[in-house]
Amino acid sequence: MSTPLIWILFPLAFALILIITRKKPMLSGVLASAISLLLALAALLFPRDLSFLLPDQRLEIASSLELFGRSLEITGEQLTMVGLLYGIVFLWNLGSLLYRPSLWFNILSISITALWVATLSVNPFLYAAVLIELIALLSVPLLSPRGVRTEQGVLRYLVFQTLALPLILLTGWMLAGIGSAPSANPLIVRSAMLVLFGFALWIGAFPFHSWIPMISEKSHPWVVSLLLALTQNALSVFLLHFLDQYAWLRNLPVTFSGLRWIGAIMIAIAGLFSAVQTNLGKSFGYLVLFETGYSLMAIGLAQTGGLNYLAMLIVPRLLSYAMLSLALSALWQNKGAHALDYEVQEGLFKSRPLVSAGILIGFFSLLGLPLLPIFPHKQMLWLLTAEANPRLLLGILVGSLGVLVSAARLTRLFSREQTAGAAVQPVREKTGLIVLMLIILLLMAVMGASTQFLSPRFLEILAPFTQLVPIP
Amino acid sequence: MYIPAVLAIAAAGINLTRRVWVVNAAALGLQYLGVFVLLCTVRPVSLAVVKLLVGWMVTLTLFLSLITDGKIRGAKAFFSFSAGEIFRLLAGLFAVLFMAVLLPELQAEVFPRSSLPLLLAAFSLLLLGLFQASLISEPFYVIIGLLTFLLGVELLYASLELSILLEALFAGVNLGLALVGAFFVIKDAEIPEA
Repeated sequence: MSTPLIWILFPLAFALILIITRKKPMLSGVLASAISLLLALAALLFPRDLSFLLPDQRLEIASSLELFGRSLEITGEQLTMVGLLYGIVFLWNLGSLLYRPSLWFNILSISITALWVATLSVNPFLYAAVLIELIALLSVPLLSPRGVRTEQGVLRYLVFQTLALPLILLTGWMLAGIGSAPSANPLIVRSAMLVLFGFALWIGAFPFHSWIPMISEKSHPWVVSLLLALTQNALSVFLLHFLDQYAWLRNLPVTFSGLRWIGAIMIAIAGLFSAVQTNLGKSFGYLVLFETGYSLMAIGLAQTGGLNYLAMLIVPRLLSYAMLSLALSALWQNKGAHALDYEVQEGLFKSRPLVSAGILIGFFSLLGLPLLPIFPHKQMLWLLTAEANPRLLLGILVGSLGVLVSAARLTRLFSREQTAGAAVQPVREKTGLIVLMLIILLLMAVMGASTQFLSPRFLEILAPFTQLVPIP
Repeated sequence: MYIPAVLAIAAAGINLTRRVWVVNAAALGLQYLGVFVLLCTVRPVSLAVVKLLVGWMVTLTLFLSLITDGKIRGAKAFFSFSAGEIFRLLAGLFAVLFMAVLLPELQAEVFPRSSLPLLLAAFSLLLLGLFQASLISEPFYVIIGLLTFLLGVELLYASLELSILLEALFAGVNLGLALVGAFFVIKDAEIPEA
């Protein structure tokens, strides 16, 4: 028994078995939710030394698994991240009971999560580049299901993910044996450029971001939010692997300041673009980019404690994504992509008060409004940014104003009387939707009221990165 | 070793330029054959042949998906070129020539252990695949472009390092791309034209 067997191979095998149940959505959804919850809880509760004391013996679980001469390794310190990834897929599988985005949703969501765990645990970790390509391929049937013409966003997504692959692989080869060369070495500068360029393609950093709003406009919001949430969090941690492992990358003077600048630019651009959108799906895509900007900013502020806020932002951000995409899925249901156009949202406060409130709460939460759970952590990031370089605050200000304008436009639109003149009939929402939204709202309220609720637990995600986060 | 390199480059050039599905599928198969011969110079034949088999399976998957939907078109007027095709041909040609000129320096500085024909084929496939994936919006051709790009990466990496796990993962990615390509072709064919 080993940890990779439990959290990678077993879920993959389970996903294969789930194929049998794909035409029974309720059963498939319940099974997928149950198994992902079990895996998440096991990862969060497992002893960090991977050993159990039984009455007569000590049972040790191996942390690595040999595969074709290379290995998959999940240490006790990595289990919090594994638990988080399975927690995400649990929540989204639960939501899929309400809105069945695709016959393959449950199967592929578990497979993709297992592959993300493999990505974070493969040794040498540069091989993860190929796993990320496999994840992109598995995402295609979800993003572009049968019955819908293949959209450019999906193709662009595939192209960008493929382009990043050689950049990361070649870096691994270039760096073999030069672990601690002086940072002025041209080979190091070249490798750093390749790594950061590869990451920019993967994560959709500006100017390689176009695929994100394109897929979020045309694909089911529940699918998009799951895939982007997994990608954003897993890739942020993967970037930490690079920074922690390679002293040369950490010691390059431009690495952290470059990440801060890219973060600020992304926040500004995403906010501005969000302000001028006419489709809720696209706006959601820009909000994800807005948050990616904050993640990069937090990593750029690693030397002054920014990583703590990267870790503590994860759960509140996920709840905001879940709230927003649940509401968008409710609009999407039975009507498709055009149901997210701004022009059909007039009078939504009257016709669907819960859904419109969910959308606005999601927007305001991601913006970082006080009393909502993201605010305390973003506030700390603003302070750290001001200390590091006050000019970066301009990017944050512009981006935040953009999102604020976007939310204000929506509020006006939702409260406007419908031009058609017909009497607005309130839509009766599903009980499951109401319950799920209330649970998410409750969690958000508790986290907003107390920063010590749940979030600090996720600081353990940073435990494997001893070079970036010195042990106190 | 320049003959298989030229064969692979010419096949990629045909795929970049022409829009005749049956020809494109044949060219893709030839591309894998050229790369297989090049791989034999840096790998045991038993390992290189895996790439050929995977490549031909990929080609067959795409070809069968086109046949299933009745989309295979005959190679009519093969030697008449549209403006777009001439543009892509010239762009590809310039890119390969440019690469050939720069290659000796690149080899001396970065890849001293790799042979020049292999590097020429690898970088040409990378460039032509990149052109194809970015210049065309039709899913079938984007997938062929990505397969070509990936073949360039695999060829280049094969000359640098041997890893069985990586070979297995690459095989998985190639087959995955072929399945995605077939999925796109069949899915789009199911939707009636507006």
